[in-house]
Amino acid sequence: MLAARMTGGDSPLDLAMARFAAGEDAALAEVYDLGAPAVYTFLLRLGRDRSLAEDLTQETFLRIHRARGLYRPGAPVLPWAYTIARRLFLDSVRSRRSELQQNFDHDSEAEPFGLHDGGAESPSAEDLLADAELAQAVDEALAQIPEAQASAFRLLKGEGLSIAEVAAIMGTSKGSVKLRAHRAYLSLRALLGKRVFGRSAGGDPPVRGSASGERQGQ
Amino acid sequence: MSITNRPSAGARDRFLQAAARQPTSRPRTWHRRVSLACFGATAWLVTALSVLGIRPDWGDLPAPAVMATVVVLLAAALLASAIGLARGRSMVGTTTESLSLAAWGVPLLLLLLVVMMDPHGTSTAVAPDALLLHAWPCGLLTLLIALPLLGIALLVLRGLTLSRPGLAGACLGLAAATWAHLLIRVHCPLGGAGHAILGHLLPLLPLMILGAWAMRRR
Repeated sequence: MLAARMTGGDSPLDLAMARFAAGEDAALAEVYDLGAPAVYTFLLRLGRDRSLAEDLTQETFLRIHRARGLYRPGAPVLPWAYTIARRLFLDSVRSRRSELQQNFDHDSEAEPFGLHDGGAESPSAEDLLADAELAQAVDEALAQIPEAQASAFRLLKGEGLSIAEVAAIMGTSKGSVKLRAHRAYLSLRALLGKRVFGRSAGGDPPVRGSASGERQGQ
Repeated sequence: MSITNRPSAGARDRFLQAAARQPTSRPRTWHRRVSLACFGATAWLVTALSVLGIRPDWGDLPAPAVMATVVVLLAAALLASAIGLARGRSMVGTTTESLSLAAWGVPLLLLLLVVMMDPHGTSTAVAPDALLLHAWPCGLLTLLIALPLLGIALLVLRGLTLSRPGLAGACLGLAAATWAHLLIRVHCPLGGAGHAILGHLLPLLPLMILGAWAMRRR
């Protein structure tokens, strides 16, 4: 779903942004409604702090609001929003490093993703629970590896973005994105062991987000 | 299945209220900015050239060498400007590969140009022991001409969050330095590769550093 929204520049989000950039003020709420869940989820997975994720989501969309007249119609909005969100997150980490460390510790008691806000579309409670447990395990493991590797992995596997899009968001080359994601995968494999990778050794990691691998060849 | 969380309804309301309070850029701001920047930069270069004047031996210079020098400098300046000022496909600047290629390739191209192509007329080559003495006024002039151009370029990108602000800033510094280099080439009657490297080319280094620093600090 998310991957489909990322590409063309003709997704509902991109069209709403084009209308907003053209002067239709009311389209801002639509831009937020369509883009905020993805950005919020991305920030939540990065920082594991709901309050921080909400604040940074708001600031991300305020920046988009301020840059309205700079928007190029047809440009995909989500990579832009992810770039702003990631930069804001890194800035906040730098300024609140010690506070964030406390949040990491505290958040280990937090509820797993998807259970709290009812945002998931799940076929059954068992599937959801298994998926959420897996998500939490991967998330905890990702919190232990370098941010650049974790972000590359999350954007590729979790959000289903293409390598080119992740490279644009992270400000690096496509080769570097592949390398970071691969290193993250190796780290996850070492950290999670048979719990996650045991049944598919050598294959793609069965991380949540079946969009994994979509359009990676682009 | 991708698990997506949502910011709270309260966060949405807070965002819309904050957006209503904050100023936003008008539609087509980007086009107005670029047009104004082109006009301002051209006006500045024409003013500077009219104040400095064209070198007295301009008519005596070998036409092919002059043509090649002007064309290469013009192409390098346009390329660096276009890459540094690009919003990119996803509004986060152009690709890291393009930025890196410009930041490394254009200075090397210019170095090759000044070493291999040194249009001589009736001008005198600078004696090796007086190289620095004659180079610093040209270097200072290059900096003075380039600084307003860099300022204009930074203003164009105001409000955009780029994925590689440092590299983009370095490209803008390079572009400003190359435009100034072109102007100084037309003005300065001194010949010799040593003078061209020290007086005309070397100022691009501080300008690239300044551009990178300014963009990262925004």
